[in-house]
Amino acid sequence: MSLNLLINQIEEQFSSSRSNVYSDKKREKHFLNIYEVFSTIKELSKSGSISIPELPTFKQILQYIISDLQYLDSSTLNVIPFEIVSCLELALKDWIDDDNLILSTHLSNDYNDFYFLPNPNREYFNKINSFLSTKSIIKISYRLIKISLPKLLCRDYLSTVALYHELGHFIDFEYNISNRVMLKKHPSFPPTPALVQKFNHLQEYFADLFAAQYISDASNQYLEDRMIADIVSDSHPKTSERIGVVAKFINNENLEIVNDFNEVLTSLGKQLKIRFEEKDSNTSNFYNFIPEVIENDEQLHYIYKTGWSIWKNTVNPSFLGIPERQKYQMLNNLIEKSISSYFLLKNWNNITK
Amino acid sequence: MPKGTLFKEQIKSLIDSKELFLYPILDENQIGDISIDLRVGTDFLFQHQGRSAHINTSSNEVSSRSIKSNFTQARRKVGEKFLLHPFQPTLFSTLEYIKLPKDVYAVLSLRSSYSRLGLTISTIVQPGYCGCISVEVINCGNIPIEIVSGVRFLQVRLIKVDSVDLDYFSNIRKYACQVRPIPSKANEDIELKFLNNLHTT
Repeated sequence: MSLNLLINQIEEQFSSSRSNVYSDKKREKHFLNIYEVFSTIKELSKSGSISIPELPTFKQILQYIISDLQYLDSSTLNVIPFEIVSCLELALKDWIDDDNLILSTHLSNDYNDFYFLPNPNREYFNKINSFLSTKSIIKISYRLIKISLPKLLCRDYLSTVALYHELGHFIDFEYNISNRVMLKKHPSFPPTPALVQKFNHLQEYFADLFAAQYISDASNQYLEDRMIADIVSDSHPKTSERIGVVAKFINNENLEIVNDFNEVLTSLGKQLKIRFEEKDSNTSNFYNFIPEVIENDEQLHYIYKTGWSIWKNTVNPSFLGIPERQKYQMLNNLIEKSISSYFLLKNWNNITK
Repeated sequence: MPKGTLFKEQIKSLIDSKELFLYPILDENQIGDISIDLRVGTDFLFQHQGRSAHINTSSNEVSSRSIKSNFTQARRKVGEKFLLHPFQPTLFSTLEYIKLPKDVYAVLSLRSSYSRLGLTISTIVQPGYCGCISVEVINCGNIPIEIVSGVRFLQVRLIKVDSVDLDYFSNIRKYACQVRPIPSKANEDIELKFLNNLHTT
């Protein structure tokens, strides 16, 4: 086993990424941080200071670095889907207030690539840092939350609602929520395929409910739109059932699954609850072709639901006579401007007050 | 309201009555006596030399190179800087989203601090227009000029016209509700098919 090939590949990646301008200081610092770790490992390798038993661990760290680099590459100011990421960062803060987390997105060429990368997780991150400490190598300060989305849809605010669902998976993994629920109900979990399927479904329901807290049923609208067949699989419940659970949740109906999650969450000081402020879409500014003037975070998240309501409304006269493609572009533009203006005004008011 | 250039109180009155939409306004003082200061937005298109020897505005065939392939997209955060290189056409959007009343058009000019640097723009905005305004700027000097995104860069005069029958959406509007600069859509002109066929039949 040798590190040579991997080291050269990473060097190549750093060489092309070094001119990146990231969307914020944290990403820039992380880039420099992992470069320092990489450089030290490269020197150790060159000088023959890495013993054979240590090689696999160093290889894992290098693979960790190259994965982070790929996500950072999609986090430059020019390509990051800034508006949706800003919304997700706000939602994330409700659940984990950790300045060392960076929400990063990878723009995939695959149209279906909406996913959260669960590994390497926090445990792995800590393990790497412990190892680096024993070798007197600088620690990695920031941990990336890795979410992938299709490049084609990065400015499609009707579709990027799926990212709230993906963030829900991260929160679930971080706190072991679905796992804890399963262990409460089935202490011997996971022994059978049926229970594994139940666990997978539980994870999907949590992510759905997580998203619904912020964007109402907007994520369901997208789910329904993408659905080809309403079937159950090992990984996902039937779409209609997912939609049903979310509908009951946003109507504040008593749901066993929500109670189960909340029982676990209460012990963590968290709760699944409605976190959006509903606005009547019929009176939306979008029908007058102007952005929404958003006043608070709760209204901000709800903008995606408003977008979906208007997209599906085919009777309101405002968009009648406008080609559908133009309506699609206009809606995405209006959502983007509503969000960007909200964050701009918030920052501006903080600086000038 | 009489026709002609609108002054401060009239502009404010149109905003209050929601006939004129201007958002976000970072500072109330942007509304001056006879004009409104508009800011440079966050998105840019810089023209570059492409593979083709010229920009084709005469055809919109799927096999022909698009006009936008001659532009590089870039984004800056408000407060970040960008460079205007000599004679490189640059498109940007205003930070403010505007919706004009049906009977008011807008004339844009540079604030004098910037026109004195050798910059030029040329834009008129149709009555009823809605969106951030795409502005073409050219640095006619021979030294690159650094500009800060978010700076007050333009002044817009609003002019009320006599007609009440104007309807911006009576035609298909290619640039409505734009929030990022859009390259020219000259090759989407519906008359092109007639012009191109004039000598083939």
